[in-house]
Amino acid sequence: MRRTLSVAAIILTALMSYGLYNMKYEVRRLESRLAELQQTLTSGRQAVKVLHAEWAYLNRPARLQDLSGRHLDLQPVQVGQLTGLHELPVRSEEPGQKLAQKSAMLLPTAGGKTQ
Amino acid sequence: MSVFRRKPRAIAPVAETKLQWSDDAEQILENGRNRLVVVGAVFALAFTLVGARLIDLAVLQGHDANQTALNDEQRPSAERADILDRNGVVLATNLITASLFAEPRRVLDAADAARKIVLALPELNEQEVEKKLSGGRAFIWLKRHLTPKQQHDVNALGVPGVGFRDDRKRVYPHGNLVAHVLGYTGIDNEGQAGIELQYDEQLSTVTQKASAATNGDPLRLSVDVRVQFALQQELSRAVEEFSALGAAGIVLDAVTGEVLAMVSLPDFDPNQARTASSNAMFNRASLGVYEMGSTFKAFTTAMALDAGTVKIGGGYDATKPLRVARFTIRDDHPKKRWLSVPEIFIYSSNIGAAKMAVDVGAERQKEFLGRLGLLQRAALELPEVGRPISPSRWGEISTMTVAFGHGIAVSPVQLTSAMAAMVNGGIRIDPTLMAKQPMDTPQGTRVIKTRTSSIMKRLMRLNVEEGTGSKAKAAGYLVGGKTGTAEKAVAGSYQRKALLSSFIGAFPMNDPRYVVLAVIDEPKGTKKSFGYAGGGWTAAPVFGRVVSRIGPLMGVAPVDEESKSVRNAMFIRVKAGG
Repeated sequence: MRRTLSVAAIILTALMSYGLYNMKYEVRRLESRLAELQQTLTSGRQAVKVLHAEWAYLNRPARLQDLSGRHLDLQPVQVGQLTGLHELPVRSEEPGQKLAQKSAMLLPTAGGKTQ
Repeated sequence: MSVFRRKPRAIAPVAETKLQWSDDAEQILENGRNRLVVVGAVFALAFTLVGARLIDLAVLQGHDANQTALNDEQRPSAERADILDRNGVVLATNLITASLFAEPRRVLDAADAARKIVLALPELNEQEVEKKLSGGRAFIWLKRHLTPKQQHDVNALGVPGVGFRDDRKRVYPHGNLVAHVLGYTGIDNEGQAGIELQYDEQLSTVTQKASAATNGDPLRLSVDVRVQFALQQELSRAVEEFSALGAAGIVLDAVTGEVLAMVSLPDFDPNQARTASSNAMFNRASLGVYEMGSTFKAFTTAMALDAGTVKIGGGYDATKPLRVARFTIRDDHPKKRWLSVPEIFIYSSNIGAAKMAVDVGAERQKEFLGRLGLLQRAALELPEVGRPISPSRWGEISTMTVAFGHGIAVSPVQLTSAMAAMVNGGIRIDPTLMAKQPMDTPQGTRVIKTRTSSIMKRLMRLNVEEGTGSKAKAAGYLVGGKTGTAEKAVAGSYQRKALLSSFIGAFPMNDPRYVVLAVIDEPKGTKKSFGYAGGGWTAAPVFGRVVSRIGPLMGVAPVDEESKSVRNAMFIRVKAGG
């Protein structure tokens, strides 16, 4: 009885020491992995910052205006191009007859004008 | 029975000895057991405590440990926080650069090293480098913030005793655009002007703070780069067109007090602030104080109407110039007749404004302008905020000149903020450069009645339709405003040719949201403006163009200015009884 207890204790001690060492090395490994990840994170963050800065630099309004002036047919929005939903005429003729009725029901103000 | 009582018994009969032995041994064993139990209990208790603590740490406080690990994450030290505009566009950030340093004690041949380094970095002076390298110091910077190519070149030299260190350089991607608001930083990224100086502590205290969440959080300004660009471009055009010395402009949200744009021309590039002239560095929009001229008539009119000394249907005689002591007050656009209050406003009559102010009185005028924040420094988040200059003795003559904006000098920020109170329903709100939460509408203080504010809106609209501000029109946007043309006081007397021309207005006038100010410093008349250089010819068109450009950006719905409902809403009787 006593002997088995002692043997059990010895085995337990051995197991625990082994476990402890294992744990220690595992922690050490994880720590170096952590440092590695943090390094990657920092350099990644730094890269993101550089890209943000470059993005802001390339999107300077002056540059965009110049580029769009040279390569696009876009013009600044004129007031006449803007209108409110309630000012849209209801499509009443042929193809969208039903649709128009529907939209007239959905948009009471628009419908009200044509009636 | 204690063990210590035991004495050796050398000679004893065998049987007796045996009996004695077993008796003693039992005693000893008993004692030993007792002690073991005590020691075992102590150990067991200790291990139980350790075990409990382990469970406590690993299971119960496991969450905290995770947090600790997260906090432990190494943030780049001394990383200055970014500055963003209201839409999150980067205005100021840091980039990692390499800086070249030397350890002179480890340099073998200073002369040779200096010659080589200057070969790679021609902008350095060979003698100076040699002097630095031959001094017996342990560490010395040779050049900060090298470009990658320079770094490569220097590295290729293989000079012993020099090396690179990661350094951080403050970068302003938008260059000149927001220069005066942002300010700039020195070689060690310490704030030197503008927001960078004002919030230096907040921007630079990044590490070793309790909560990780607030660490390095960027600073969000109220400025919108798109609006800023529109204002800057239109002001630059005007400066060029009228060969002006400079210009200043502000776009202010009249409801929240947020400054959407603040421009001062000439400007500088904060990336190379050291090369900028002091004239370019000077922030005309907040630090400069100027006699603003006729734009003050808006305040005079509001004050008189609010105090009830004159009704909107009333008026004053402006037939003859007003003589007070040795001064004569004339009108720039003389009508030589009795003028109603709206007429005084739209024809910008100095005589009328002066008489209006005299009826209110010096005391009440002083108190009113004080409430509008025109007599003390603006509460703006910039180190460069100018102190206004007001008359030391506020007599009758001061009352009269202040009524049309002379004898009192204020900064453009103060003027804009005070004008916002005229049109937003009568509430004065401190201007701010910090972005506010959408629902965060500041309290402010009431300065004029809502009714008076409503009249002011109509008067300002009328002034654009029929008065001096007609060039400020922006198709589709209901704008209103007041021109100002002040002669600059140089060496104690007013100069007829040196003008400060301005226009301040708001839109949309039926429910003003944005106040826009354009000030042009010493414009010269051109053929196109028939030689005129007043606010109506130089600053008003800038206002109109800025509004046309920022209106769609800010989501202001255009209206038909000629429609009946709009006209009715903006109606005001110009001629008394007519």
